[in-house]
Amino acid sequence: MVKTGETKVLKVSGPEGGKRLRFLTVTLSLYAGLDRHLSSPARGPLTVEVQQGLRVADVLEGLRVPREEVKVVIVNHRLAGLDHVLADGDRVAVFPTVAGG
Amino acid sequence: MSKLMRVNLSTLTVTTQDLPAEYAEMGGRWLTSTIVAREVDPTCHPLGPNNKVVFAPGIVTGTTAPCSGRISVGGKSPLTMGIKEANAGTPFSQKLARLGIRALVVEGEVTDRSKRYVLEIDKDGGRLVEASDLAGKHMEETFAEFGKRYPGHAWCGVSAAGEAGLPLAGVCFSDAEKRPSRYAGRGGLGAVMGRKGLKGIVVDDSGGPGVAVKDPDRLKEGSRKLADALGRHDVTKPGGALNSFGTAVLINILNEAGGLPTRNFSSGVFEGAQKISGEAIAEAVAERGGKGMVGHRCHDGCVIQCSNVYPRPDGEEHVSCVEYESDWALGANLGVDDLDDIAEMVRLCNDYGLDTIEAGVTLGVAMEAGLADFGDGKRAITLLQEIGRLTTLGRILGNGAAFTGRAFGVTRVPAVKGQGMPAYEPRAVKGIGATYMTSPMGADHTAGYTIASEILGVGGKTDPLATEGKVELSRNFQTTTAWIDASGFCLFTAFALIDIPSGFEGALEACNGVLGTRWTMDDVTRIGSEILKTEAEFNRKAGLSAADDRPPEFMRLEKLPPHGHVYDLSDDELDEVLNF
Repeated sequence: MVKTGETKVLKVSGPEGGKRLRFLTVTLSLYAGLDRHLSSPARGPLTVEVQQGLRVADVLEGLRVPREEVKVVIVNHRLAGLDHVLADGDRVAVFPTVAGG
Repeated sequence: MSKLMRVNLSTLTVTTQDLPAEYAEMGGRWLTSTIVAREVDPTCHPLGPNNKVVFAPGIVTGTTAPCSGRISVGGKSPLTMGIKEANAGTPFSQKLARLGIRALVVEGEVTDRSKRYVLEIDKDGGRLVEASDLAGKHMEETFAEFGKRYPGHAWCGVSAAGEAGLPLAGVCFSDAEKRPSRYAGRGGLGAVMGRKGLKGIVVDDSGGPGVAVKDPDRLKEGSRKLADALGRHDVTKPGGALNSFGTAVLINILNEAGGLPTRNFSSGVFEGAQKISGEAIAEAVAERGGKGMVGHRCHDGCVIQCSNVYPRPDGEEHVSCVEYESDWALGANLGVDDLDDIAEMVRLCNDYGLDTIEAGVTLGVAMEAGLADFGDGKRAITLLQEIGRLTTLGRILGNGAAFTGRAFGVTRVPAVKGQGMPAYEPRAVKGIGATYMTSPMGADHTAGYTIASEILGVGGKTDPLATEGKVELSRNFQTTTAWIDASGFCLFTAFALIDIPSGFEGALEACNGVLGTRWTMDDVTRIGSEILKTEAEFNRKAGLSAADDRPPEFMRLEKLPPHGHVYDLSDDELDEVLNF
């Protein structure tokens, strides 16, 4: 298990396999147990190289995080959707349904 | 027949009467606020003989309805100087309800200030028994004594801080394993009880009549529907977020949303958030083994089980429980990212009988004043110990964040009506700000938890940074919450009630089963708004006004990182929130 604060680099490409396309770097945190879907769980943040033009949903699919478990996506401290198109340096946080008080 | 018990500390008498007919359908907050409004002079000194402390289990408390072991405690608050209801989940409430006692009213004050009393309640009624040997003892020692004297009872009590009249003091109830850990914490009702000379209340329901239920089949059907909804909803189901990580699962999501108040509300982002998160607590429990656990329950019959037992490094029990508000107040709000230091502060608060939220907000103001550096958990622990020892500094801190701010000339004091703000930044989450400013309770997240839709996506989605629609959002949440606080159901059932219609039907049917009523959703709104109006009227007579429904000035002036927002719901908008 990768401990908090350690960085793990993953690469997610689109269907074309990334040929001649630019890659962006984003940080991704999978919270409240969503990291269990990774081959090596990490509470994050992960550093992910992402093919330009991909959305949050594409990255999660590439990492085999089931879409039905995702409830909230926050990018750069703002609520966003799965269809948010990633930009270089984005800070992405993904949550299942959580609550408390 | 349901009963109302009165305990008078001036005359040392206990009387029990049939529950007056006008209270027949009331429970929990509805009943405490109604009795306080009728019987307490709004201008009385909250620590004097004319204030009262009212205890009331919820309508379904003590039955087999799931997650229903709540107790409301009411009175005039020495912190806000307005009406107060604080509630907790505890076997104490179930036992009181099973004796048929729907309300317990504590009045007067001891004439001999050196005397302390314990109220014993069982099937034969109530008795005041002198317990002056417990004077000046904190909760761990008090409950250890109760364990010897009353092993078969459930307990509540107040600490030396409560006896000293400090508004940080709550009323402490025993949990399922009899720890001093379940608090009706907010607003200083422990000080009100303590100044009366009442050290504790012990309840044994053996041989009691049980809860009077008009329609058992309806109660059973309603309970089944609610249990089904709780079992299906992602928040409340076994292995769901609350069960697996506890309420501190919120640390990361509020931090990512820029709404986790940090270093006395000077930022919405805490760089140490992950280290104090619910995920980190679950990891410590797994790695350390021993007595630590997640999925702990505060009372039998809870199916959510969001509590925890936090272990020391060697696996021995440190404290139950490190939940979101305490974790934030004594962690991010102080810039402290060490869970073991936070756990020790929670343990001290539990022992000293203190509201963890007010304690943390007070320490944040104290750090702002230079009494400690932000991030210095060890020094924060010694400041709490000052309160425990009742030193002069401890008594200043024990009066809460607003008083401490005045004592040290601090203007960044995150409080409304004198009550410290909980773990959501109003400048980053505008609807919860509307609740903080306008709730008759003072700054209280539980009074109208708009976070559900503003951050969590439960019960619809709204933009946390937008002001549009937040007046109505807060009003609707405050109204529904007042009803839930009357019902006896844990507020955390609300997530399933909001998202699953059959769950809300079930909760209503369970109440209808107990009372023989035919309530619908319209009655939820009617009852909720009636409760809020009763409370607001008490506050008006106590001298509070629209000027008290305002954010602290610094939140109008200082832009909060990372979003750069001030609090921008207008005064006129705030005045509309509870304008029924």
